[in-house]
Amino acid sequence: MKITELTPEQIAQFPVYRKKWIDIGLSCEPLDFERAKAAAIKVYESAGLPPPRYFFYFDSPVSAAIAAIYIKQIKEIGPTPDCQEQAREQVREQVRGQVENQVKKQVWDQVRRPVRNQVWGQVGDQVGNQVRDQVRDQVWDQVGDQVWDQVRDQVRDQVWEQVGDQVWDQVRNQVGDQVWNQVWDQVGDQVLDQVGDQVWDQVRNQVWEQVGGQVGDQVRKQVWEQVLGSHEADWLAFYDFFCQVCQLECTDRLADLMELAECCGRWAPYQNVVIFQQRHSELHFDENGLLHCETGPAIKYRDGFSVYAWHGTRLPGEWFTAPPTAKELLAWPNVEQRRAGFDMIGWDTVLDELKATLIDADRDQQIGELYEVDLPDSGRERFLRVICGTGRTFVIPVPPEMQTARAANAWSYGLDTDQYQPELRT
Amino acid sequence: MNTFKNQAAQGDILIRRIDGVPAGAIKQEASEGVYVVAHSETGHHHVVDAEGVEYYQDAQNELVAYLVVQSAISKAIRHMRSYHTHAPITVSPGTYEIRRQREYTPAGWRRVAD
Repeated sequence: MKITELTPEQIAQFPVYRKKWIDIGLSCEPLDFERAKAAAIKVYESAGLPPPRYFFYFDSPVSAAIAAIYIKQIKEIGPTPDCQEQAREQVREQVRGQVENQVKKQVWDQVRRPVRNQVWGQVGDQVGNQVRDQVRDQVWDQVGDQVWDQVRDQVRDQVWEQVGDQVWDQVRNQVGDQVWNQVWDQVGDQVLDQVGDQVWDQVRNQVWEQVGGQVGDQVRKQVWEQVLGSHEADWLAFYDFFCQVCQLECTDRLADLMELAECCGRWAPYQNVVIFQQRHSELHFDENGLLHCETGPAIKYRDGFSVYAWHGTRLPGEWFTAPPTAKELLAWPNVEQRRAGFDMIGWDTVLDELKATLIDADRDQQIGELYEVDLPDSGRERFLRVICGTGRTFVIPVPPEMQTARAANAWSYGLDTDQYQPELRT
Repeated sequence: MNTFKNQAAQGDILIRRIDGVPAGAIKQEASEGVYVVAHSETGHHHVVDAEGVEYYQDAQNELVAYLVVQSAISKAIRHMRSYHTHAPITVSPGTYEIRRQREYTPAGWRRVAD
């Protein structure tokens, strides 16, 4: 018997599950390490894998990723004290040379200390030189680079398969299309908007932007591998609704994943080793639920890794200590960031600072206004100030020979003025 | 639903009905069931479902592409962002030119990047 319709009582539970999982996804609570370890062990168990032996945690996606690279390199070289130092030095050099200042200083210190304390605390001191060979046999040889990759994929794939093949099929077979879509729209998708789009996407893009070069590639790869945890709240919410409200049977695995999502940020499974991430320690939104903070980072992790944002648009952190000038903004390459920057310093300040003269104002705000500025260093420039289909104001530099706002719009699309006739703008 | 006859804009793209795809345009492959008609640096692409659609890149102008929507199927161009979203635009069967927006720099022009 398929569920083809939800009862009013079940529908009344939509907001409850939305809130439950948005709260989990946006939680800033510290990691519950013991609870996370216990849940991870159960995930391995139900994936048919030997339980992990070593558990590490780091304070942000960046430090967790750098730590994973670091641990891998130590393993490749081996656990002798000289080699440990060599490996540490090697990674340190790479990181120092290539990662941006903030990550370099703050994250590296955060990574080095916990790795040393945690790895060598557990492996080195605890077992001592005497059993170093044993450790090598048991841990480092098993978790060679190749195996590392295989196991990561294995754990992840098995987790996904369990959820995909089992829970998905189970739920799919028991509910009609309409209910499936309704629950996704009302629960899953809305959690995704708030947690995935407002937080995780922004964090990931910040990592992408902040770490470059060879280490950057490795870090990006590692971050991508951290696919589980509290930011997966959207589909966990979706299944949780079916499990709890519709009393569909869910596997234990899903319960363990939900448990993990409630006690850590993301986490990455490897053979013998699990790396957990702390959740963010601060999150700030505007009244529309968009990531926003006017006085500091909108997302902050415990090691200082931060994302700055203005009403949902991620901006350079420097702008919050020393606001950009209107002239800098006019030349800023990203149009969304430029818009947010103008919004930040205020339009009156912009016109005043640029000593802008209005050349032409179209009756249609979506055609906009054409301004001229005369800048000390770069001379006469013109720009279009135009409202887009979403109601936001954008500034587009146009050639100095433009005479009307309409001509400037047409030029921006490579058309002649009379060719530019949009019936609709969204 | 947002429909148009000859010309419409969605964020930084402009779509115009034309008679046919110019000679030399390069046919594109769909990726994961969609054509990305406007790539965004932050992943907020503008996309159209690939089924029943052909998509071409202009051979000379990187800012111009072509969309062919086969008869009897209307398609929506969707903006992949859950906030500040440019509303979907329905494209009825026909051939269209898709233009990306550009902006002026003292060194020439560049594509509007977001």
